[in-house]
Amino acid sequence: MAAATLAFAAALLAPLYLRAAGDSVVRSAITAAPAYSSGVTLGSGVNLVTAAQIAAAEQQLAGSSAGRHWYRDPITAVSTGIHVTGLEPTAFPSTFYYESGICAHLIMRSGTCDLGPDTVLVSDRSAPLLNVSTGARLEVSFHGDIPPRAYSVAGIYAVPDLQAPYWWGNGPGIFDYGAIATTGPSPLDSLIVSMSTALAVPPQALPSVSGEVALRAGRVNLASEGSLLRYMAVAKNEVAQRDGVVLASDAPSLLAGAAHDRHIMSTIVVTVAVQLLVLALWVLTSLVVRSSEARQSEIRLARLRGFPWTSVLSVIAAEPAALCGAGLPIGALLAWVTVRVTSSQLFAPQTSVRTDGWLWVSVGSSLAGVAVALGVGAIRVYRATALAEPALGGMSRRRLAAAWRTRAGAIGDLAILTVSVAALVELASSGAFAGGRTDPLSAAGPGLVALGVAVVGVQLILLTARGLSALTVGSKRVGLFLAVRQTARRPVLVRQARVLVVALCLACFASAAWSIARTNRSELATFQVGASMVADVVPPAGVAPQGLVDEVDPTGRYSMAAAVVSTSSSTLLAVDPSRLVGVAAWPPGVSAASLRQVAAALSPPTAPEVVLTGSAISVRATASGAATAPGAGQIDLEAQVYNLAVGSAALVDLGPLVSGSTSYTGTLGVDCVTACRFDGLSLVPTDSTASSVLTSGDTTLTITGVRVQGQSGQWAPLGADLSPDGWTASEPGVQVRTGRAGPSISVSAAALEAFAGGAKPQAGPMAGPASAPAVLPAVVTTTVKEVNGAGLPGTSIPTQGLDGNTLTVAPTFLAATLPEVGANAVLVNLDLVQDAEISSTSTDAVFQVWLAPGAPRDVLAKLDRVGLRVTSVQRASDVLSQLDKSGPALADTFLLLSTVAALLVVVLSTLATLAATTRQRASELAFLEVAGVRRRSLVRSLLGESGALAVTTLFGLAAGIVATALVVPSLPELASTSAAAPPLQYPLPLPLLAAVSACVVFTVLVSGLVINTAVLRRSAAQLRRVGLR
Amino acid sequence: MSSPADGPLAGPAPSPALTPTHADIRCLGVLQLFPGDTEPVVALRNVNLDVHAGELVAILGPSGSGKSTLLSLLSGLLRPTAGSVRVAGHDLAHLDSAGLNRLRATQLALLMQEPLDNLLPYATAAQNLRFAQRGARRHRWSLRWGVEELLAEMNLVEFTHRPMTSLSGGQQQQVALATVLASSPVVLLADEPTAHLDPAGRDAVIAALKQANELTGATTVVVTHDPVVAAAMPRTITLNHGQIGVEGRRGREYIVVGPDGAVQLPEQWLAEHPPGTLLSLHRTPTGLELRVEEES
Repeated sequence: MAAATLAFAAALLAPLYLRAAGDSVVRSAITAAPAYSSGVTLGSGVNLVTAAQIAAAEQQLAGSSAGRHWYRDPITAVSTGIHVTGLEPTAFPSTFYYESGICAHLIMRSGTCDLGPDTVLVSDRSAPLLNVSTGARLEVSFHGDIPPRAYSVAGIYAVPDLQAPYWWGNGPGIFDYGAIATTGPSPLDSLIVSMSTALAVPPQALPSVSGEVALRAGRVNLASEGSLLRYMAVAKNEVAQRDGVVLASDAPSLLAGAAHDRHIMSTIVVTVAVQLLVLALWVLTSLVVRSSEARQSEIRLARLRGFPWTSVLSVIAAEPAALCGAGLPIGALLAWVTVRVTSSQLFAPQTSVRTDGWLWVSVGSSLAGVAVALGVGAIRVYRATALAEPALGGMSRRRLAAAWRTRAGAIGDLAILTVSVAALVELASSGAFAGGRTDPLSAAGPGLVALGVAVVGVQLILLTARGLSALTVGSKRVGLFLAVRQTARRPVLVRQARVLVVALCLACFASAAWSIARTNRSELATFQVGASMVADVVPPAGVAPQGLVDEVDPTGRYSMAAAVVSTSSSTLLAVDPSRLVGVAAWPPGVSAASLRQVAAALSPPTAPEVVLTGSAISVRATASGAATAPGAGQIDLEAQVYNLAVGSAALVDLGPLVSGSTSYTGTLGVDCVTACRFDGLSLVPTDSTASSVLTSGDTTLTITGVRVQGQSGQWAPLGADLSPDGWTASEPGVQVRTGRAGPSISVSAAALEAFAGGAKPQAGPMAGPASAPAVLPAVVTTTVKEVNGAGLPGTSIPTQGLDGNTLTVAPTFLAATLPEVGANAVLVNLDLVQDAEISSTSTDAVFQVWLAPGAPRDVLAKLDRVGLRVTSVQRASDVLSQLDKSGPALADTFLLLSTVAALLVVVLSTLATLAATTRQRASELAFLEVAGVRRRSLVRSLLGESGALAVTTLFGLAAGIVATALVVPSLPELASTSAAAPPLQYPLPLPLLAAVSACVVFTVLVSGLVINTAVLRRSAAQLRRVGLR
Repeated sequence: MSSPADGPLAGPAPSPALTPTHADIRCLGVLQLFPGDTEPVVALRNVNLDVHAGELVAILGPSGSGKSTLLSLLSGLLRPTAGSVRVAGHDLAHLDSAGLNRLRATQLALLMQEPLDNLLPYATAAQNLRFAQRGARRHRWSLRWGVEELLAEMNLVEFTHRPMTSLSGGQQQQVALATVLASSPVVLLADEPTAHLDPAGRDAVIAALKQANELTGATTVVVTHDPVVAAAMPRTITLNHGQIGVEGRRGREYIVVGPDGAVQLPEQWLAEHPPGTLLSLHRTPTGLELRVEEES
């Protein structure tokens, strides 16, 4: 009954689980999506629509009772591109912006959000640039031929959380202060206005009106998704026809993705469930036979008393049928409880555990299967309980029957082997096992492998036992002889082991597949986030975040500063290499280089930074070559310094280059009163430079000394290392050579030409102290390499720095993808990329703190305390939780749960068979003991038989390993694949497989020991009864 | 399948499919072969036997003589290679398995050698009898006795509520006999019913068999190798080498003339006159006399 109950539970688990998991997948797809994605955006099509049209469309979509069921109250947004001028003369690009209920989402620094006509709100970071405060007046100009208008500042607001759902995914666009601009000044945050003010702008200004209608995500589930899609389709058609408004929503594609996800899951679950159902019926049939065999006397008597065959079959099957009948409701309850209890852990919140038509189909199929099992078992027993016949004929018939059974068994084995091999070949030829692609049907592979291995393995054991039986017949080791003879003679038990082999194979496969997939998902989650946790932070103005992170985590054990800036071409990720290894995710297969090698490559050895403080700088140098030749015209020597306080580069003109040894002096002005970094020198051709200089030979400049004039007027040598190794060239065509007096900079004509006109020095000096590498080392993704045609190592490629300027990097390693930023990205050293900044860091760059799993719980508070304002946090655990609710992950979990249940059933049934077959031998053991076989030999014999069963079981482990290696790479682990994901890894979890197998073998051995001990006691009791003991 | 011309069954209500004329056993020219390793083994040859309604007959013979095969033929467990076997008016060769089942459930009862082969060991005597009656009831066979009534008739009341495992071998076999009678059969076949019993048990079973025969009037054939059992029966048929040898009636032994006129010498005579011995037959004033003419 336990086996029947578990079999029913396993059979009914599939439809219940599938229904709940399907519901969970739908709910996850909708709830995990951003509001702007699952909701509806109403906007303009070809022609601009008016606010009235949007309002009508909003009413159409969300005004009816059905609409209110699905959607929240609409939000209307109006935006108009403007230029705004404050008390400073600069006109900044910005936006007039209105959104329904916006005041509830803004924190006012000053003034009020109670907006009237011709009043605006200005952000706290825009106000200083405009030099305005509450009450000040602004001048706003619009697109088109419209005279500027004046507005008064009603208040100053703090920039809100840009990722909040209210901003509908447009936060960075609405509040785009400091974003990189192609021309002119960077934009300011939007000026917030009232709806009347927003709509009062002239039509020529092209105000854009849109409606944002959030979906009530909790109401979308497996049962209702169809209704939602139908409702959306009707609404889309109507608003387009009547109002000319375009309805846009990702909900259909989200639900289509969920359907694809469900399809993968369903295919795996159904494939696995069918295998387990067959296994359960196999077990059930053998249990029916075993239980009926225990009632053979009753059945034989019924036949002797002339019961009709139907009555005899009912006598045979009545008890198992009653037990199975009792097992059905209990199994159903067990399945329901299992799904219900695990639903909170496995499924999305609010997932319902319900029945559907498939459950009844499954119940019907299970009952039909059980009926078949009972029928087959009953017929087998009926045939086996033929009435006693005369010895002579009976012997002959029994011999014939035995021979027939042997032949039928061999044919059956051959058929099973053929079917499994043929099916495996079919799956392989259809590409199911091709590592390059996934196919949920490959889930059928383990069962087929298990069947084949079980048949072959059992035959091997039997053949070995028969061989050993012949060899040990004359042996003094009676126990060994009896063990091998019994194994060879009693194939019922060994044949039963086939089921155990299949179940163990499936359990090994399921646990390995689950473990591998879980590891891959965990790696992916951490990789997508970048680390265990990544916090977006805003450092205080002008302060690099690295120092603050150092304050929080002085040992560098669990945190790392990073910065990310994205452009249309690629994404730059800048990290602190000294902490990269301990914090960042770098799963196997991402790159040929280890994370330690990457960290080392990103931090080449450099000289210390040369910092100066003073009012003037003097460079003593000897010049020669083409630029100093008569008639060469003027070429200026310029020093480049970087103001560490402000974060900007400055050029210091040291005067025209002259032939021979000269001191060149330039004024630093106020730039370097606090501290500047000396970056190097450049030769800059001027308008009067002869063209011949730019096409002829090299110019050489040997630096013999650099001095700085302090605030007191005293000149002092700059602490720059003037040895040849201390300087480095930064430009193509420029070389630094060893000079007797100091570094000798050799500049080619082509390099000079590149610096002509004064534009090039913005990118950096020609040569300077080797405090930074000439070209930033970087790890680039394969995509970036292919786009730029770069070779490794050597060719430098351009990218965009944190300041928005072009940054040249030298790829040192290739990676398939990079943590957090994906497949089209460049990884550099944060310190070095900041050193290479020419202007201040762009607001498009996001500073982050990456945190390792060992970070203290209050680390975010600590970051906040040191001045790093945390704006958002991403946790790998959240992403993993989401991935764990995907269809393939839920299928993996089902695979694990159901195969463990199946293994339990099979182990129980095997032990029952072991007990039954051994119990029948109590008399035989007694006779052997009477015949002089020592009890110790009998114990050894029984242990040997259990050992043979255990060894047979180990074929399940072998089959599990083969199935895992063959099938797991083809089994879908993720709902969708992405180039940004790290390559999936399939290492065999051998310790886990060994542990599972050891548990089963241990159980079989110990149970065998217990059963054998009991049988030996029974045989002893028999001997005592007849007075032989 | 019996023909309607065979007439109605005596006693219990007849089954439409089984309409025997009377409760007797008739074997005619029965030959039974079994496949052997090299050539067929002859288990019975030219066996002719008539047992009349209500008779109590013992079939005696050593191991391998063919008596168990004969019992299997009489109970329909085997079909003869040649010849016919009629039991209770039915030619068993013409009955299908359903007909045989029906016969075994109603008119024909078989008592096995091992007592527990006839009983549910875990059940009481009453439960065993009720179980035995289920087959008869299935075939709407009128039962002559209720369970308690039959137990009382067979003096087994004390065992009514005792499980079989608590009884001795002899007691078990007595209950087994009551069990086979529970379905009110007209023919009772018993296979070595005293084989595993001590003398007391054997005597009790012999007495029970006689009592059952008198009580029910069922034609009773007891297969045995025990001369004591055979001697207790009014008629004894000895099987030897698959053939009917001598027949005993009320303590006297006779050789039987077969339908083809052949007779079989008793075992002790056969030792003196082995196969091939020439005998001459002479009529005497009191009968016939066999003389040895020439020995081979």
